[in-house]
Amino acid sequence: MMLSRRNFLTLLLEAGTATACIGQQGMASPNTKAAPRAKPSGIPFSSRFTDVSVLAGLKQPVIYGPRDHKTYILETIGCGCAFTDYDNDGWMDIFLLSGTRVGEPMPEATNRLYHNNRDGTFSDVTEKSGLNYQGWSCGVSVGDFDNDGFDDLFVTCWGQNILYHNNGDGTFTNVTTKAGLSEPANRWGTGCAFVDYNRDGWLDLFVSNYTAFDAATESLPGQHPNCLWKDIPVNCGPRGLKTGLHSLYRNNGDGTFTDVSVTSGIDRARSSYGLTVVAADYDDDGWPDIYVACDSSPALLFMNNHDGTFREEGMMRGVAYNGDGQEQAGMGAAVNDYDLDGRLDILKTNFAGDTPSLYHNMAHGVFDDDAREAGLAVENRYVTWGAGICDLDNDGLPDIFIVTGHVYPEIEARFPQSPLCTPRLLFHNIGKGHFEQILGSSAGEAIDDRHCSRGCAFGDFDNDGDLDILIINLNEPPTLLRNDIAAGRHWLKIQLIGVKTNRSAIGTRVVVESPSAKQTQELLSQSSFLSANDRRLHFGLGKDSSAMVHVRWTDGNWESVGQVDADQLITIREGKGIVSKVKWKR
Amino acid sequence: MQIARILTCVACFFPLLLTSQTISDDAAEARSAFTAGHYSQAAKLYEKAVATHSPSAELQTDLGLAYQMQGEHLRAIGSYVAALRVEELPRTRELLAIERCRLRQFHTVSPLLAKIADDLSSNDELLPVLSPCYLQADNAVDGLRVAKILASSSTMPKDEALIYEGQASMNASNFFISELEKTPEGPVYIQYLKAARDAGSEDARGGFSRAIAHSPYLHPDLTLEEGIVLLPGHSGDPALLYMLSVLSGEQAMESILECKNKYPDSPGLAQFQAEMLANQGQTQQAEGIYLQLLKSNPELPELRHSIAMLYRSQGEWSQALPLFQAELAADPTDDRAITGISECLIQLGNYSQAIKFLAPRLVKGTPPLWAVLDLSLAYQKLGRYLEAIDVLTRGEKAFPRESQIHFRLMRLYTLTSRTDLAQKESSLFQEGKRP
Repeated sequence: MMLSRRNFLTLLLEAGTATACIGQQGMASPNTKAAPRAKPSGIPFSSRFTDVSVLAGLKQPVIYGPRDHKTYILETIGCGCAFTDYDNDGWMDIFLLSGTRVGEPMPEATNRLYHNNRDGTFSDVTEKSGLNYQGWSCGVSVGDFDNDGFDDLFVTCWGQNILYHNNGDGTFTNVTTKAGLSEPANRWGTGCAFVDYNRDGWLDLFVSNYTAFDAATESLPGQHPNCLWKDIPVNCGPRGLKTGLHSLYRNNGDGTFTDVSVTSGIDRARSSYGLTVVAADYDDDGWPDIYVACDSSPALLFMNNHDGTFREEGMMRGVAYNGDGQEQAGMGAAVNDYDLDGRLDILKTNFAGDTPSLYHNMAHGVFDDDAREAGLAVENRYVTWGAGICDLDNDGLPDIFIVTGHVYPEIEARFPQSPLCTPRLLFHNIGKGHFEQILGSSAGEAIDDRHCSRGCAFGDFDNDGDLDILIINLNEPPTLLRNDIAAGRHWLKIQLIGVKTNRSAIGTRVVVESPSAKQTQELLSQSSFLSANDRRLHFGLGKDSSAMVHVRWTDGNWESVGQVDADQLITIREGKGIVSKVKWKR
Repeated sequence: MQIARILTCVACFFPLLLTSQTISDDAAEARSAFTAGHYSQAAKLYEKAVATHSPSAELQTDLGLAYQMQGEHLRAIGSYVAALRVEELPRTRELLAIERCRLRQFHTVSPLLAKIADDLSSNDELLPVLSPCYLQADNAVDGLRVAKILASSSTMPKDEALIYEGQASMNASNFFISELEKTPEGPVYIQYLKAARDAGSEDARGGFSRAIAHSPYLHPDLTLEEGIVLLPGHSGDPALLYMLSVLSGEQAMESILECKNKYPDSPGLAQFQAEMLANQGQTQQAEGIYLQLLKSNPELPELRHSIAMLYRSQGEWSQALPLFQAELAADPTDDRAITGISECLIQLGNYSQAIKFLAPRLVKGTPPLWAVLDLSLAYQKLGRYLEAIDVLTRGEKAFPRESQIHFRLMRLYTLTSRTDLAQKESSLFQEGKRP
């Protein structure tokens, strides 16, 4: 049997290389061991994902620094993407961010808007829309800041962030300066979220900043301990770099914003490298709070004091560190109620050598990291970024999807176990707060494809009653994963229109109560990694063919629209109930 | 089996110690109680004698023995450590090593094992008790010496001695590879090992000529024994480390293959094969062999633990649990079994059972940190926040600088609206994080 000499050599090498020493490095990684992987439950996952990017016409690569080496951290962080229906035709369009290359002009490296042709294909309308931009874009938030009925875009960048006003005719106008959002040029905006923090009916804006970065003065790989990873020279940081200051801008209701970072208390959090922002009501008091995933520093949770100010309580509430109180390199964040207890939970993605964090909301916005108990801690090999907690197979239980990709292309030659391009991670919710990883290609070969991914967004681009996935891959074209679900699973989509509250209904909570389960979601303007999802909330209903729908608008008022049949998109206008029902053919 | 060996071994120390002492009058009473088997009374009398006499390594050792015979292992260790501070008696060192190995305190037992290794050849009682510890502690090179002693001793069956030598050689090879990786030129030599592995070759000597060119004190016919003699003077030399990793790897192969040829039906060999399969991720085959051994040779040391750990590695908590329970029944002091049972119960979501199992164990003495954390987690999961807080505050007294305790208390106080206490724990948590 296996007592061969070769077996010995294999065993010796595996044991030996596992003990390789890890020197000081720029990224926080607590070296968390992966938990044992349980035997398959046998519960089927009935979705299959197919990469339809080329068919859809998404052929242009997302440029972000060189592919084979990264001199600066600026080239590694990457960017997000969005599903947004910019022309209100009822079909999700695609907005992709982009970086560029240091000292190498690349006209083709631009943010891109793709119009949905309603036949599975998209047309590049970047030039026509006025969204052409060459620079280092990072994050995007979608929301109607002037309540004119058309979703606007806010884009964070290294340099000046940009507010694009949607003109309603397929074009956008850069209104950043006019809106009072100009900032010093060397700031590096990353996360951003439209949020009506003072509940006045106008969307305000929160922006997280990563660091103050200047390529002219930045250290080069290997120059000091924060520029090494396992003793290999790599780009420096974020440790050793100046931490970012975060900003809150109040919407004045006249197309302009006022910087209230100091008076709101946001300015007091000065020790973090901010990335993805998710604004939601975590303590169920009816007011939006703000969570910021932070790289190599404790994550932040700004709790709303109901008077225009915030208090930062990430640590006290258990979402700043992992369950053992260790610092992590947080990248992305997703928010949903994965265990159907009516409270919003948080998923945070982290660096390699760490597992994702799954912060279970115990009550009143106090969390416990349940990644291990939930079955997520079986994976610690990859740097994880964009993520979603959403029902991908319409069984009524929110699943988890995560994209991955390393930040150091240089290390793969010496450490083949740390490749640049890595697979997607899919965890099937099997009930009672437990997940099971779908391995290999059983949910489609596209899940196992290797890319260096960053942001991802969830939405139904083909209007067939499920959630498809759009993924940013650095220096490659994006991936569009079409979801095909076996028949027999019901669903419900809900589009919300605010009237007294903000028109985009961002921050509105929806509870869908069907015979099998009670699901709670909130409409978010950013999540995943620096990305924005389809604003039509999607609920899988499993075998249930109808459900009760209750809406809590952002002013705290509840509105129930009664029993609704499954398998349709309903539009609810604040105070008017259901104003539209659309049944789609699959 | 191992417990019986330990007791027999410890018992052999009594006459040695008692006759070697110059016994004072008040210690004589303690000795009488000890000899009569009244260990609790003996311990009290020895405590009194220790308190009233000038420091005596022998009195402290006797006190430790009295504790040890009552199962008070942590107090026994304390006494032996105190005795060694007074005088380095070899027997005290051996008793301390036995206790530390029994409690699996491998990081602290390593220096003791290094000092004891050479004496084992003349101590047939101690050899079988302590030799397994060399495979588990960080004593790879000492383990090779012990393997040689076992090979020439009659204390262990020959097949088991060969397997021991194979395991010790593998440990040594892994140790040399990890040392090699720390050197700047390590990757160059590692490539020779990888090349042999990838080619399916048993010959990993491809870099010998390079090593000899690099370090002329080496030669092509270097033996493992010669290399180990050279090691103290050249511990950072990648050439020597590479050759030692190859030579000890070859020794591992030879020992196991010799065992396979001479004792093909050895249950120890089958157990070793199962462990190798488990390490290679071939869990089904490993499970098959283990379960067969459980029927045919249930007395094999570590067998239940190995199977339980195999199930644990697959997340099969319900199958691991009864094996850990059987392990605990066989040795009520086995901390690994207690830890395993607790982990299984928590993972299975059987929080009530976890509380029932752990709570009595936290009543006396200083509980281990994991037990404090597991018990408080079980209470927390059941929504019994005040009891979770109570467990953690008791744990806080034993581990005042443990950040995990402060971290958990901080959230539980926040959850129960005890803001002031939450703030206090927050400060302690942050203080603990400072370098």
